[in-house]
Amino acid sequence: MALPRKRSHRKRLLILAALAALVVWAAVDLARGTGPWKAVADYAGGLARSAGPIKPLAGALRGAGGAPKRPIELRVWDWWSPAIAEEYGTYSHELERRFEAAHPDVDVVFQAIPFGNYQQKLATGMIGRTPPDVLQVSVAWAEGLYRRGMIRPLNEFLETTPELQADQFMSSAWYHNHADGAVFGIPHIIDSACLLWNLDMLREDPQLHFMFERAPDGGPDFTRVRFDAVRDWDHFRWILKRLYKPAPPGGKAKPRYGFIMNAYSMGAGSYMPWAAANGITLQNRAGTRATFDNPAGVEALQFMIDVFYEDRVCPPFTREIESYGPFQRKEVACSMAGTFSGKYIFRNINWGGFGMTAFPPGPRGDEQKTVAWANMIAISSRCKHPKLAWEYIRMVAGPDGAALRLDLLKMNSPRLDFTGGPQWTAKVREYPFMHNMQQICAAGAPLYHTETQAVRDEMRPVMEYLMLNWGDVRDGKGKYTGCADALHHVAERVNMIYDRYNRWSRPPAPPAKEGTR
Amino acid sequence: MQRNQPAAYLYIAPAFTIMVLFSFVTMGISFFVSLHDWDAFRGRGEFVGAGNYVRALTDLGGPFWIAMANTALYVVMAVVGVLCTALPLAMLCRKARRGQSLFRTLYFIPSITPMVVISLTWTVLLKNWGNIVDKPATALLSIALVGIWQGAGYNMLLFLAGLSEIPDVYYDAARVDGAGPLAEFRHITLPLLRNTLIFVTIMVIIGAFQVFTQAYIMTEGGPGRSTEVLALLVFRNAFMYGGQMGFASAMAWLLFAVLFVFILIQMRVFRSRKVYDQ
Repeated sequence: MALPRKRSHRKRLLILAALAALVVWAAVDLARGTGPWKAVADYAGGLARSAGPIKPLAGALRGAGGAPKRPIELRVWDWWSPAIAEEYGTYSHELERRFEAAHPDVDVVFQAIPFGNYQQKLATGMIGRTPPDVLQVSVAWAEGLYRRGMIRPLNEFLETTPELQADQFMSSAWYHNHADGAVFGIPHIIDSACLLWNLDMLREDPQLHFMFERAPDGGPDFTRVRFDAVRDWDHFRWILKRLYKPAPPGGKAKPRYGFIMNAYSMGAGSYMPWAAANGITLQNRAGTRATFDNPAGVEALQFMIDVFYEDRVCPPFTREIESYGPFQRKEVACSMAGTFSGKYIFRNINWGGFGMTAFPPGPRGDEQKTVAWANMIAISSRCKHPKLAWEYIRMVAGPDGAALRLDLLKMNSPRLDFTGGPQWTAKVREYPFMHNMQQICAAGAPLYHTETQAVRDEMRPVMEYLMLNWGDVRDGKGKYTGCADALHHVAERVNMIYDRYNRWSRPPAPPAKEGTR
Repeated sequence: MQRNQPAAYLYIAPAFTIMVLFSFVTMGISFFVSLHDWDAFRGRGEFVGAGNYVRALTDLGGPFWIAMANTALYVVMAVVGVLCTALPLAMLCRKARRGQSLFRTLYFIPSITPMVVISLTWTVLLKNWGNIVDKPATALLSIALVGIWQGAGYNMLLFLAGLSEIPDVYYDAARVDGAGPLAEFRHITLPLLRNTLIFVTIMVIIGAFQVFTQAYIMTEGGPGRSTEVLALLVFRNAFMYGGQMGFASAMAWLLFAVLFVFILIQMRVFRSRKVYDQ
C-alpha cells in the first residue's frame, strides 16, 4: 500500500512544480511587458474595460468596501457596444471622460444592452429599480416608451437650452421625438434608407456617366454619385438592365447582378422607401390607421416584384446577415441599404468605391424620396438626477457631440449646423461616399413609429410570401389574388394592431419629480 | 417503517418553498395576467375575462392557429426524427466493442452546447447546403433537423440505459431459435424498451412543443409564417409588443393545456408499471 501513496505524493509535487513554473513565467512576462502572458493579461483587461456590467459590479464592490470616490452615478444605456464595433467603445470612453472632467462628482457608467432586447431589458430594469438615467432610444420605440411612461418629457429643460431647439435640426429628424406637445427625446444621429451603387461598375459603362457629379474640369467625378442620378422608376429599371452582365456560357463565372432584392425579413423595411417615393407613408401621424392600402401602395409593391420577376436582374433570394452582403462582395451593382452602411462596408473591406442615392420617384411621386429616422437621447422616468442627465444630453446632442461622432464613428448628424465646416469637408474628402448623406436624409419621409415590431411581424410574412411565391399568385394559385389583395389583408391586420394599442395606451403619466440625492 | 415523520417536512420545506414560489405562484400570476390587458411596464389594465383566450381561439387563420399547426408539425418531425436517430445510435453504440465511451461522449456533446450556438452554426451550414432554411416548404424541416441533431445524443443515452436492462439471455434464446436481427429487434428489443420508448417520446413531445431558439435565431418565424411556432409567438407578444402580456399569457396557458394532455398520458402509463414480462 505504501507504493501508491508515494506515487500520488510524487504526482502532487509534479503538479505543484508545474504550477509554480507557470506563475514564474507569467510574472516574468508581466514584469518585462512582453510575451504570451502579457498578451493574455492585456486581452483580459480589454475585455473587462469593454464589458458593460463590469464597471457597475466594480462600483458595487467598491461601495461595499467604503465610500465611492465620485458620489453621483449617472447610468447610461446604449446599444452601441464595442461588441458591434470597437470604435463604439472609444466613443463612449471619450464621452465619459469629457463629462466626468466637467462634473468631478459624477461617475458615468455605461451599460451596453443588445438592440433586440432593449425594450424588454428597459422594462425589467425600471421595475427592478436599476433603471438607466439617460438612454439612447430608437425611433421605433420612442413614442411607445413615452406613452408607457418609461421616458419623461423634456420640455422644461428644453425651454432654457437654446442650442437644442427644433429649428436647429433637420425637419425629418424632429418628428419621432414628440407627441401631444411633449418632447421626449433629442435626436443625435440621423440615417435613412438609400440605394448603394458600385461606382466602378457604373464607370465601366459610358452611358451611365451622367450619374456622377461633375468634376471642376466638367467631366464626371468618378468618386461621387449624384443624389438625383436616377430620374424615375423606369429609368431605374433601365439602369439595372445595363448593369446586369450574364455569366459567360460554359464558364464557372457568376453573372454580375444589377440589383439585390432582400426577400427575407423584408417586412416593411424594404417596402417603405419605395412607397415613400410613390408619395405615401405607412401609417398616419396619430398611429391609428395604415395608409398603404391604396393604388400608390400597390404600385410600389408591384414595382419591386417586377424588378425581380420581369427584369431578372437580381440574384436568387438568399438570407443574408447584412442586406448589403452581396454588394460588399461586389456581386451586385446596386443594393438597398442604410446611410449607416457605408462606414461598415469601409471598415469590413477597406473599400470606399461606392456612392449613395435616395429612391427615384414613382408614378405618383414628385421627387427623390426615402425614409429617415433620427434616433434620440432620452431621460428615463425613474432617473435620479434629471438635471445632470440633461447636461449629458446637451453634450451628446450638441455641436461638440456631433463632431465627436463624425470624427470617431463617421456618423451623420441631424443638426443643421453640422455640414459645411472644415471637419465635415475633410471627412468627405477622405470618404467621398459621405458627400450626399445629409441630402438623402433631408429627403426622408418619417419611418413608421407605432407598435413597429408588431406591424413588422404582420407585414413580413405577407411580403415574403409575395416575393417568394409570385409565380403562384400571378397564376391565380396563391393565397392572395395579387398585390392589392395582399396589401388589403396586411392593412386590416395592422389596423387591428393600432386599435389594440390605442385602446390600452393611455395618456402619459405626469412627469416624474426630480429625484434627490 | 414509520411513515409519520414530521421532521421530513422540514427537510423538504426549502425545495418545496422554492418550487411553490417560482412555479405555482408564478403560474397563478400568469393566469391572472391572462385575464387582463397587461403591459410589461405599466402592469394591469382592463379586466377582459376570457377575452384573450377567445381572441386566440377564434382568430381562425390568424397567428395563433398557424403557430399551433407549425408547432404540431414540428413535434411530429421531432418525435420521428429523434426515435429514428437515437435508437439506432444506441444500438450501434451498444454493439461497439471499443470506444463506446468516446461515441457516447461525442453524441452527447450537442446536448450540452447552447442552442443559440448550434442555431448560428447550422444557419451557415444550411445556407451552403441548398438554402433549405430559405424555402417555405422546407424551413420547418430544417429547424427540426437541428433540434433532432441536438436531442439525438441525450436520448441515445436514455435508450442505451434501457437496452442495457434487457438481459442477453433473451437474445441468445432467440438466436438459438433462428431469429434474425430484425426479428430480434421486433420481438425482443422493442417490447422490452416499451417504458423507455414511451418516456423518450413523451419528453420529446413536451420539449418540441416548446421549441423556440431555432425559430428565433435561424428564421425569425419565416419565410412567411412557415416556422412561426407557439413559443416564439408568446415571446413576441409578451416582450416585444406593447400591452400584449395578457394575450401572451393566455396563449401560454393554451400551450400548457396541450402539454398537460401528454403529461397525463405519461403519468398514466408509468402508473400502470406494465412491462413486457409481467
